[in-house]
Amino acid sequence: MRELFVLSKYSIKNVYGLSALLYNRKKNKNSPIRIVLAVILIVLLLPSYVLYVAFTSILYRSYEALNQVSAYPVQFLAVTCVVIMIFAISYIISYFYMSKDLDTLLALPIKPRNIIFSKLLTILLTEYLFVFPIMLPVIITYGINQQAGVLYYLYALLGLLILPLVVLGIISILVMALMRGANLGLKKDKAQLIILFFTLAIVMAVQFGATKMGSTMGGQDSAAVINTMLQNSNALLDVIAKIFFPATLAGKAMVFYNQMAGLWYLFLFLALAFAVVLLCGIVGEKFYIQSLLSAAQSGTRKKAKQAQKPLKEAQSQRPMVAILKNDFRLILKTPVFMYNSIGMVIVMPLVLVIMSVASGMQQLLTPQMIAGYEVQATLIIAAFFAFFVGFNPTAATTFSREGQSFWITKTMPVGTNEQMNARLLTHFLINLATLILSGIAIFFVTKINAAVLIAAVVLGFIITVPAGYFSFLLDASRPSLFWDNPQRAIKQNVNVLFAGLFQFVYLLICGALAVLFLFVIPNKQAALALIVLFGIVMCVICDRISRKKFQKSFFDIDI
Amino acid sequence: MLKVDAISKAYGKAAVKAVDSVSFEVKKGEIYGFLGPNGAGKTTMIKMIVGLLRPDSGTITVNGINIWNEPVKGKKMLSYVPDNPQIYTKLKGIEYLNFIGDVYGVQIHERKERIEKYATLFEINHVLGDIIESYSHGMQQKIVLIGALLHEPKLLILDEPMVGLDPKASFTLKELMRSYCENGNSVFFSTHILDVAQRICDRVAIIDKGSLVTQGTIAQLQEKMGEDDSLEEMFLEITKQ
Repeated sequence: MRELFVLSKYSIKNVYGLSALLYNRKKNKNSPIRIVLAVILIVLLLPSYVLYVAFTSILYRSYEALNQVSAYPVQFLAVTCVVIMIFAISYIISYFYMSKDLDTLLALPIKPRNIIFSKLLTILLTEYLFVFPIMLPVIITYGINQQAGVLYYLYALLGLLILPLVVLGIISILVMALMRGANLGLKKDKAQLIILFFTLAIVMAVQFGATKMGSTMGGQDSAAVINTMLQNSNALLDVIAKIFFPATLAGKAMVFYNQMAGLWYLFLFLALAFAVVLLCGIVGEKFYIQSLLSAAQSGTRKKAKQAQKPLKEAQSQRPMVAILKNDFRLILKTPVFMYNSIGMVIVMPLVLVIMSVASGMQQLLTPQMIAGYEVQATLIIAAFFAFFVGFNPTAATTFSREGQSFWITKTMPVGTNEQMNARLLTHFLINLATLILSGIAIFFVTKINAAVLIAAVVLGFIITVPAGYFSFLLDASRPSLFWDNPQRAIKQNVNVLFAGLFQFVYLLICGALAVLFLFVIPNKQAALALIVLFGIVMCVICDRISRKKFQKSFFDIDI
Repeated sequence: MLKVDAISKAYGKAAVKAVDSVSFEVKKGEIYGFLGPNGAGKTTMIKMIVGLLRPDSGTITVNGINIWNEPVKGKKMLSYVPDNPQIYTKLKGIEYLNFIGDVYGVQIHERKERIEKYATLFEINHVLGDIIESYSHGMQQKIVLIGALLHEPKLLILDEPMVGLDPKASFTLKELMRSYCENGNSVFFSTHILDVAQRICDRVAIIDKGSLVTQGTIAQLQEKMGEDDSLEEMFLEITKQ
């Protein structure tokens, strides 16, 4: 146990950079700026969180009206499970398979099982950062309305602490087993990428099933569904139980806290958690540790007769093209970068198709429905596009992705303008590809006017350009270069969060302007043209400012 | 070739300077050794020369060009090999070299010729098609070295270049440094291996606690110390306070 504690402490300090943070607070001049940035972030997030808390309270009333309050905390726990799953997949692959501390740890006289558990505990801490803010308002709302006692809050706390561990454990077992299987015939990176997208497909399938179920309730007509729900206050709870088993056990323990059934569900939940953790240890030792020890990095050595081939691959290109190609190569060859940057190009159109088909949106968004409202439709679709593409982390991690190999960029004889063009082009090309594919997906699903979609893609792209410049500059001024795991460069990089917030605020400003123009200008096409013009002017201004700022900030990045 | 004039650097709020008003000059065709104990400021100094760290004060010129005022011009004339060669591990060796060739504007036929020449010299031509992640530390060091030599810079800056190299590669590098300087180029390198410094350097400088303690040829240092000591003995004597 002591061994596990020491390992976990080291791992948490290393992953979250706590030692570095304390050191920097003492030594680094930039500390006050970071504190100010953190305060700005909290202030910006606070209104959204207040809205979320209000939403949970309103939702409780809806469940109450349907006589389904028991499903209320369980449904949120189920949603939490999905959130944990989405984040856990890439975290597990990164911490278990890409972390550079593995060689050191394996050489130490410690139990391999403790290495697995310490990594699991480190990821668990990250998951708590999502789980508690999501669930606390729900727990409190339910507790207050049900006038629940101390036992309820105790069960809820146990549920919140242990549920992420169960989900993480299950995902870890799956990933380790799949990696072991995939490694037999594939290179490690390819195996990781396939698993990332495979698991994402599962998550989307669950989402599809849940949406479909929500809209049809298993084929019953709506009157029958409401009738069932009014007669049986646990009807919805039973449906959720079939899909999210661990969440249901934890939720039922909370709901029936004042009955023996509650204690029984808690016992079952704890037993399940224990079994999952135990199994995770066994599978980890058998698959994970063994695969590390056998160093199954296949395909690293080519036959001698191929030795001359590489020289033929030599081609000459302009520095800007070389940087752009190199950037794309690094993204495509690093699974975590590919998953987070390019993944969106594949995921967003798929999500749009799934959402449309599952929710029946394609029947609502028809050419007839938007006839006469083409401009409004263009604006709404463009805003929707810009919102999602605004979370593309490519520009916000431009230099962070290079880590300690950033010295190459810093010492190469290429001007800041060329560097900036190449790096931003990577980001904008990904954005453009996502928007075009999403536009095509919507076109095939809804069959609405192609001109509306083309205009929406163009406008959506224009609206994302300033955020691209902002994100790029942000990463140029405070890149995260000292990481031992690529996950830290992209997923744990606060620059991505700031970039998303910037896009959100800019989108709100554009939205407000669009509404204003539509009210003030009688000709709707002219109003749309004015919005596009505003977007273009902002792009030009951002370009001018960014180029000046980057000239200075690039040379100030210390490595 | 390289002129460093009153360069100083302090990290963050630290009162003690990592490099304190250091000045020296590396002449054309010269191998200049930069010696000092751990934490003396060698790597900090090198990073400021190659444009990785901005100095607090002072000037650095390469062939008369201020490296911080005209970075693109200045960087075209030098190459740098860090002490820990962290490079794009997901790329193939040949992809990395091509990338370096492109950003330094090395023409295709010259590039192929030089890659062939240096890869054969360092015996890594059979792994150029493999991803760098699969290379040993020494092989990664060699690919960075080849990348640094690809555009045949006027000034080669190496930070602890022998670390990680096998004896044969280490010998090859020393021979290469000598012949490189005979062609009118210069080499500036830091090392802990005083034996190597004594044998191949035209001049050496010793830095301790951020300040340049002494510099000159081995003979000049021996004259200053007033004894017929080896460089190792002189180094220990100079840095013991």
